[in-house]
Amino acid sequence: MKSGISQADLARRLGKKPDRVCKMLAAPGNWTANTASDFLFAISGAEIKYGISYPLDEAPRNLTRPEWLDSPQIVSTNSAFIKLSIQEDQNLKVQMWPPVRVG
Amino acid sequence: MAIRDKIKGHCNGSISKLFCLSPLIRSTPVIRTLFVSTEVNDVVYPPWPPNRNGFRLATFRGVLDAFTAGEMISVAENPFKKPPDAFLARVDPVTDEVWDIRCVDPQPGIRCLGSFAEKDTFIALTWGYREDFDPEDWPIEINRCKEKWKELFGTNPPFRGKHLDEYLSGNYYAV
Repeated sequence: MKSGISQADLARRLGKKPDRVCKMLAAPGNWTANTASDFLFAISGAEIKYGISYPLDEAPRNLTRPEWLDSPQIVSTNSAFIKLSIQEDQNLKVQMWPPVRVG
Repeated sequence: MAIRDKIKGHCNGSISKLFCLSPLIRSTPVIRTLFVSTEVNDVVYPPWPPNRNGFRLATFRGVLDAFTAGEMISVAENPFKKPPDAFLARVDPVTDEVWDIRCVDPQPGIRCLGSFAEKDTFIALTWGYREDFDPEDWPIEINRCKEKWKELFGTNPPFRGKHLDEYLSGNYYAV
């Protein structure tokens, strides 16, 4: 057993017969939440915590599709040119004209 | 043309051929991207018919939303060796890069074929009820999916990765 305890030890901790524990471990599909809680506590001393949430009442997400899907596509044309102007503060300003948007 | 530009064209064109599917529960975070064809889009929105097939389609939508929500999924790379409950599986031949999103509950489930456009981005193109997929029908369905891909993306092939982590960035386990 990966937890490091034997099935015999687990059976002793659960107060069940080893063959019964063996059967239960072989068919975890039939477990109830209580069974899972008992096993977890017996194996590691941990307990399962449940919580409820109301996703329908929560605020919708803003990002529901990739950003690239909505970003405008800038395409260059033969008539496009780049206008450069150096401002007084020496910052380089780059402007493309005409801005062509597709999509 | 890059595949993203083609996807944008199909989503934003005057007649949309692809739809970006976000979870029905709007507060669910979108972790993976799923685009669906018109064929798939037509069956994944409520109201579904109040019968068994309606329930199956609603469950199918839940499976698709689990993908986009980034939930933990099982992925089978070997088409001939996969557990019956694998969420996503490669379809034979693997070189075609056709994948199958498998809605396995309730039985018989629903199968949705498509391909990855890039990492974490799946294009779901065709779907069908599992009982309609006889062994001899699979090649026909796979071809239908490949034709759909070709119709939408022309010479752009589906994304091809060497390992699963090139297809999905996380929250999956190989089976």
